[in-house]
Amino acid sequence: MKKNKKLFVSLLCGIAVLLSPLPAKAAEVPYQTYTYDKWGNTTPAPNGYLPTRSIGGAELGCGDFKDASDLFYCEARGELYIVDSGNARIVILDKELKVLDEWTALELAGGGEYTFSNPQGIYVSEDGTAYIAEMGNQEVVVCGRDGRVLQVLGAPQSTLLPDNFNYQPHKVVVDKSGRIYVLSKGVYQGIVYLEPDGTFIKFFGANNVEMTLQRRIRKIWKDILSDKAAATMQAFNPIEYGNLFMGGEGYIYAVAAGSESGAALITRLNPLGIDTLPAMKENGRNTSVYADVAVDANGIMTFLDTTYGNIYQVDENGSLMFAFGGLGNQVGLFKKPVSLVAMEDRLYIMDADKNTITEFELTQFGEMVQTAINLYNDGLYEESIEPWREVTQRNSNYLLAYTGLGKAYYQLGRYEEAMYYYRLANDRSNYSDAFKEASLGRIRDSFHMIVLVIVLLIAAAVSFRIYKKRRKGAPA
Amino acid sequence: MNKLKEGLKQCKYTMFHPVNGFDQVKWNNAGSIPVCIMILAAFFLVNVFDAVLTGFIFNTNNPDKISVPSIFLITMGGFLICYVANWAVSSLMFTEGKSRHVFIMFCYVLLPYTVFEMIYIIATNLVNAEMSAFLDALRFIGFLWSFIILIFGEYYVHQLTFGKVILNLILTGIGIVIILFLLLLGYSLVQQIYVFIYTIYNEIVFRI
Repeated sequence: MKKNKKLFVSLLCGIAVLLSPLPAKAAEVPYQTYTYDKWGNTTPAPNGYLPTRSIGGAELGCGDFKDASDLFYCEARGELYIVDSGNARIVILDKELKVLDEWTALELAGGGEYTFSNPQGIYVSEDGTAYIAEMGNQEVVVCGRDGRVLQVLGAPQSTLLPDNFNYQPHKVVVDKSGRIYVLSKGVYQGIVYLEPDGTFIKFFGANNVEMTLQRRIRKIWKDILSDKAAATMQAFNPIEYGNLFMGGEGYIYAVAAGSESGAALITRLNPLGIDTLPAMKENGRNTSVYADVAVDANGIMTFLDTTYGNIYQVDENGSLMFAFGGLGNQVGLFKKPVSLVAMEDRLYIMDADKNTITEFELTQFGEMVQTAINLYNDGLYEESIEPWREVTQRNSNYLLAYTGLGKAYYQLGRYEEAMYYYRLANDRSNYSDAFKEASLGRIRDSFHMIVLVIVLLIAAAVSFRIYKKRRKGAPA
Repeated sequence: MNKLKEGLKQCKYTMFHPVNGFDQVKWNNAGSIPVCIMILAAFFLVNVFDAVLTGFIFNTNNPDKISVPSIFLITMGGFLICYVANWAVSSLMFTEGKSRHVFIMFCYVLLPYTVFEMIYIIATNLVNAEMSAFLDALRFIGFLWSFIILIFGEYYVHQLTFGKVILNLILTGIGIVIILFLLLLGYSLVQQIYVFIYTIYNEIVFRI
């Protein structure tokens, strides 16, 4: 009897343990984060970001979103702007995602209301002036943080513009001096570049014409055919831009709206409109279309691939840090991702089909990688070694860490170690530089020995000659 | 042993004096087959070394994907096809080259390339990427030397005029393509026969 009781109690305890809520379980994600290995194959990697939640408009207390098209985070003000195109409104949130304001209409200066019809993009400068690309009304609206319209910039007028110019502004950014860069749908000549008062300056940073093999063949035909016949053939137009991002240092990052060969998907335009981005290793696939890009203060770029629902994060040299995400229904996957913002160590991605914002948070591993990259970029080479080492301990396939270690050791003048790590990273050009320095150092160190050997050899040769001459000269 | 030494000497002589060298091969029965086989072996080895021992800066091969049997097949098979194609084309052109002469000529042609490639492989382990132009030049010299030997070899072994030498080389190229095509046809035929027999075997086995 007593034994039975004991058994019963232990059984009860066992059940209680099984039923009790488990302590924080390891986060599971619906995707596999990856990077590339030495030979360009994708390799699984620890997660750099984890999806924490998916937020709908109702949860925020402002009603569901509908076909939202743009997110904008104003770092100086700590405010997140959502362009909810389907509901023709702008929602303003604070850092904790609490609704601060909701603009369904703006106040006109002379009284009356300005109603939205199809807002597509927004940019907010540090002082809170908002520039809204209103595609439905074919104009850019400038308003204060209080919702009062300051200016309405209609279609630009200029003799430089083609006759059939159709103004469809859908994205807008503004530089420090207040000049406005507008993307207009269907305009391949470049970004529409306006003075603060809305006068047209020029087309800015036109993309190149993409010459695929097909087009080259068509070009030959065009050269052969008469002008009249050639005019009926498809024209070669530069790639149109799809989205803009104003970087901290005055660079404008522009993503292409589509590309046949996967080339020129992203450009970084300097104030002269010239692409300054180093050639990047191909991320994503040929049919990838980047919907948006966000760049942080350290030059780390995050792209949103709308075709495959992937997010790529690369460092300022274009090496892939993390690739994650995908298409699907779960939290962390997307159906039609349209916009992305980086807010401190979180990412927010707007999905126009799910009508939700997905929040991603940087993991410990991701933080380690970013710390190391930032330390290196700040010139703290020695300090960056420790975080890189930790990264390699967590993921020995992480090439970026080996490159980072190689660079750090190179800067410290420890070339042999730099060579070792560059070799692990399969980084031939950097390896070559380290190798050069190392062999130069070796020659310098053993220079006296080299001189000694040469002198001895010359002496030996000379004495041998003299010896031979004497023997010859000696009477036989 | 003495014969081998003589063969090596003749080979070296031909490298620097292709006119007299190939004349000796043609009329004095000079040149030795064992030496030629040694050159072929060196050619194969140099191709293996190329994949494995080239310095890291210049070596873009994935070590996991290097296969010595396939290198053997490509080098030796390639040589064999070139040799057979040239011999066949020359026979059709009624030239005077015998198969032994053609074989010796092709082996001699491989020698400068092999030697310079060896030097290249050693050099890649000693220099950095900035020197790549010099290394390319080195390889180019090897190719050029081989080409010159080839022209003189054709000229004297087949007793052709210069124009005919070029024609012979072009026809050899076409011959190589034809041989490859026939090999491919033969390969697919054999495969189909194999599949056919295998199917019949299976049918029989299932019914027994």
